[in-house]
Amino acid sequence: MSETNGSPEIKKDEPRIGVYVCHCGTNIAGYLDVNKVAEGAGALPNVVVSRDYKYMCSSMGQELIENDIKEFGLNRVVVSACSPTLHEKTFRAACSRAGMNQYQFQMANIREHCSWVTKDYAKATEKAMRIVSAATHRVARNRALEERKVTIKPATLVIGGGIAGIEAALTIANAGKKVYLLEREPSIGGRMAYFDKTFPTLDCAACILTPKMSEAANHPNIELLAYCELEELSGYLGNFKAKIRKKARYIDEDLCVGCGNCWEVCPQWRSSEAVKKRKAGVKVFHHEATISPMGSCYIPTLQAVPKLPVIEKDTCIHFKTGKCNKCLEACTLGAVNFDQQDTYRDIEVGTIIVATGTKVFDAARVKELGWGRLPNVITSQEFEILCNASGPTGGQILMENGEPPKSVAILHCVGSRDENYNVHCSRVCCMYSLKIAHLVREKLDADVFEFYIDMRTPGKGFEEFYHRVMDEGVIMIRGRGAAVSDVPFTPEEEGKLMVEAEDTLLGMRRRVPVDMVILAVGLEPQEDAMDLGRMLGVSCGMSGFFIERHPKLAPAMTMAEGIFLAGTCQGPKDIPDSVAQAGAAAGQALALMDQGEVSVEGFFAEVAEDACSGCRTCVPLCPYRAIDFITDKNVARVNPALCQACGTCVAACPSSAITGQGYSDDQLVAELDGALLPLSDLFEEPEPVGAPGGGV
Amino acid sequence: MNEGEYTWYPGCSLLGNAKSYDTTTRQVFELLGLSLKELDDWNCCGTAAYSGMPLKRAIALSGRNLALAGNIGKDMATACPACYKVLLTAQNYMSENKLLKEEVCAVLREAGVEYTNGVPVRHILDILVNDVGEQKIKAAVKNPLKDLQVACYYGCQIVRPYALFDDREDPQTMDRLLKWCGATSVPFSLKTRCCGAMLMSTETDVAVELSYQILETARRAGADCVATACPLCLMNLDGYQDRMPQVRGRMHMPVVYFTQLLAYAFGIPVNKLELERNLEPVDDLIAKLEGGAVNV
Repeated sequence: MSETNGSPEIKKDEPRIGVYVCHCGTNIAGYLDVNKVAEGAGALPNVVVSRDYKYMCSSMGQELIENDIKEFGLNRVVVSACSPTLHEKTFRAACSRAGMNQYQFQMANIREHCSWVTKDYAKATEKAMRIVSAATHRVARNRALEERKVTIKPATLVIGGGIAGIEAALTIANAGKKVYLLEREPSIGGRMAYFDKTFPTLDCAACILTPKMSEAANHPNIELLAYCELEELSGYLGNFKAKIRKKARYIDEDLCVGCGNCWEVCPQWRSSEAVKKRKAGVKVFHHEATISPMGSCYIPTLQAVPKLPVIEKDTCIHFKTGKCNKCLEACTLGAVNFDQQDTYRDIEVGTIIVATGTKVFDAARVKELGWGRLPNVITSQEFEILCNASGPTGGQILMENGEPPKSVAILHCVGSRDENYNVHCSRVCCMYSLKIAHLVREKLDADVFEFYIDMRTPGKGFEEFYHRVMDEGVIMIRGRGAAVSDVPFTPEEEGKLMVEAEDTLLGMRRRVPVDMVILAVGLEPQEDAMDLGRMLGVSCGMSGFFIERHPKLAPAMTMAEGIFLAGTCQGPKDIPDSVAQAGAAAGQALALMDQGEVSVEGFFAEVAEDACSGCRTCVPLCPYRAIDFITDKNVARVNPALCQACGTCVAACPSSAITGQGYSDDQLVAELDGALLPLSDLFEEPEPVGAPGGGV
Repeated sequence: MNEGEYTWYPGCSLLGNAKSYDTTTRQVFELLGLSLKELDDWNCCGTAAYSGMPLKRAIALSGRNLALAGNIGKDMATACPACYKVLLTAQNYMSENKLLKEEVCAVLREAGVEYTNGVPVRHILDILVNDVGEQKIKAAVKNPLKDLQVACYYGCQIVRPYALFDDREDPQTMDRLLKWCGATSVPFSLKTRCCGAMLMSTETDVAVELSYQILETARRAGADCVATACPLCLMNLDGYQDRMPQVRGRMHMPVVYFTQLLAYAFGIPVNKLELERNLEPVDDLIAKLEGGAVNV
C-alpha cells in the first residue's frame, strides 16, 4: 500500500484520484504483483491515494473507497479488478453513496484482460500497470454526468404465438398489462399444436394447449395479431414503436364464423407433392405439412385460434385465372373477399418478448437417409401428424400403401450432433423418439428399433420413461443410423428398408430390414432469426440461436434493454423448459413495467452547434431516430431521451461536431497516453520485461 | 486459366483397358470446341498400389505430374477417378504439410522439376457440367438418347474423400449431363457404392458380390445400361458378369463410359465408340441407340 498526500489546498476542479487494486483472492494476486501495481499507481499524476485489497467488491472494500472519498476529498476513483460487466455498478454505487458523481468512476479490468490470460508474472504485472495507468489518465477527464429517467409504457409485444409466447402473454395479461401477441402463421399454437402426445407423461398435447390458445384469444388484455408480420421496430426500452403488417387472408374476419364451408369445397391442393402421390395411387401421404384439409383455402388445424381460414394466393385457382370461385359461392356470410389487401398499423410498447421458436431440420439434406427419395422414410414431425387423431389417417400409423408397418426404425440425431449440419444437441429428440417408440408399440404389433448415439434423458421422469419404453420391448441399438437403403441383398430384405449402422456396443456393422423409418430431426434457428435479431439489436450465437444476456444468471434477458427471450428461439428446449423461460421473461418484463420509469445511463451524444455544418449526415444514420434537424438554426440536435449512445453519429460527423458523452476524444486519447507511458514512468525502478517478478 | 483449354492427364488406364474412354473423351471435347492438350512426359499417378509406399515417395510420384502441369498454367483435366483422387490427395497433403512439401520439392528438384503450388485438378464431369454447361451441351446434341434408361454409376472416388463439385452421397453431375442428352436417368441408390475395386484380383467372391448388387439394382430400376466414369468400375462390372454366382442368375447388363453415350449423342457413329472393347455383348444397347436414332 502506498499513500501520497496531496497538497493541502484543493482546487475545485483539480482531479483527486483514488486507485484501488483488487487481489480477487488469488485470481489476480496469484498471477501478478498487485503490491507493485498499487505502488506504481500511487506515483501517477493526480493520484492522491492508492491501495491494494484482497476483495474490493466486499462490503469492507466498498467502505474503504467511501471513507477515502470523504477523508481525502477524492473526486475520481479507479478500481482495478474484474470486468466492468461484473462489478462496475457495485463500485459506482459506492462512489455515489460517498457523494461522488458515479460517472467519474472508472473500472480497469486486470483480471479477464490480464491475470487470467497472461502467463508470465512480470509481463502480467507490467500489463496490469499499463491498464491502471490508462484508466487513471482517462478518469481525470471524466465529466460528471447525470442519469436519465425513462418512462415505460405498460404494454408488451410478444413476438411468436407458440406455447412460450402464449404463456408469456397470459402471465403479463393476468398482471393487468396490455399484450400484443404477434403470430405470423394463420393460427397461434406453434409446433405443439401438431403433436399427439407429450413426453414423458403422455398428456394429450391438444388437451393442454387448446384451452391456453382460447384463453389467450379471449383475454381482455391480449390483442391477438395473428397472420401478421413485424415490419419495423424503432425506439428503445420503455418506448418501442412497432410497425405491424397484417397479411391479407382474403377472408373478412368480422363476417367469418369458421364454419368450414369454404375449405371443404376448395378443389385445389396446396401440396404438389401430395397431388403427385395421389396420381401415383399412393393411399397415405406422409410428406404432408398439415393436419388440416389440403386446399388452397385452408385452416391450419381444426382447433385453430383464431378460427379463420386463409386463402393461399400462390396456389389458388381464382388468383391465377379469375375463375373457380367455389369458396366464394359456398360462403353464406359473404366473408370471402379476393380484393383484400395487406394493412399496416403502428403499436407502442414498453417491453418486448421474443418467442419465435425454431425450424425443424430439413431431412432432405441428409441424402443417405433417403427422405423424399424412398417411400416410408418419414420425419418425426410427419409421424406426429400421422399419429394425431385429427390427422389424415385418424391416428393410424400406416405405410404409403395403407398397410400398418410390421417393423419401424427410429434414427436419432438427424441433423444434430453432426458437424456436417449442426454441432449442437437438439435436446428433445431422444425423449420424443422414445415417445414415438411407445406410441408405435401401443398402436401396433410391430418391432421397434431405436438407433441412438447416446440416450440423453436429463429431465424429471425422463430416465424412468426410458426404462418403461425398454420394458415395452423396444430394441435399442447404440449406433448412429448411417444410411437407409432400399436395395435388398438377401431374399429376406425384399421390399424392406435396410437401416445400416455401426453397433458400438457389439463392435459390428448392423443392417436391419424394416418397413418404416422415422428420422428424429433436430431443431434449428428460424431462417430469418438473424434478420429479426438485427431489427431488435439481439445477436445470434454460433449455432444461430439468440444469445441471452448471461447463460446462467440472465437466461431470459438479452443485451438489448427491455427485450427478453422465451422458448426455443434461444436454444432447443422442451415444453416445460419453454414455459418456464416464458414465465421468467414475463416476470422480468413486468418488473420493469411496474416501476413505471427506469434510470438509464447518462451517456448520450451531444452536438456542438457552432461546429455543426448542417450537412445532415447524422440524421438518417441514427438507429433510434434521436437526431432532429433544427431548420432555422441549420444544425442537428440530439434528443437525449432517445439517444442510446451507440456512437454512430459521432463517428460519421465530417465536422467532428458530435461528442459521445463519456467517450470524448480527449478521454480516449488520454487513455492511450496512459497505456503507452514509458516503463520508467510506470515503475520507480524499471525492470527489463520478462525478468522474474517478486513472489506472491 | 485459359478458357476452354485444358492440360490432359489421361493416366495409365486410358492408354490400356480404358482406351475407349480416352478416345470418346477427346471426341467430346473436340466437338464442344475445347482444347485438350496431353501433358508432356507425364508419369503414373501411383494409384492405390503406391499409396502404401512411404509418403514421400508416393507424393513425389504425383507431385511430378502436378509440377509439370503447374508450369503450363491450365487446369489439369483427368477422366480416371483414381488419378483424380490421388493427384488431389498429393496436392492437399503438400499444402497442409510444409515439411513434406519441402522434402518432395527437393526430390523433384533433383529430377529437374520445380514444384510451386500445383494446379487445379478437374474431373471431366466437373468441366462438362460447370465450365461447359447445359446450354452448350444441349446445343451439341445431334442424336438425342431418346428412350434410353441409364443408371449413372459414379464409383467411390469422384466424391470421396473430396466432394469438390458434386454431392458426396447423391452425386448428380452425370445424371444431369445424360438428361441434357435426352436420356432418362433411373432412380439408382448405389451410385457411389464400391464395385469391389482391386479386391477382384484377391478376394474375387467378395468383389463379384459387390458388383452384382450394383448391376442387379440397376436392372431392377429398369436401366438399359450402366454408365460409369471409372475404368476399374467398368472392368469389374463388365468383365465379371459371367462369374456372378449361379444362384444370382447370369447378368446381361451393358456397362459403358458416360463419354461414349455423350459422343454418340453428339453425332459420333456407333462404330467409332469402341464399344467392341466391352466383354459383355452390347448389341441390345446398340439396337436401342440406333432405334432411337431412326426415330429422330
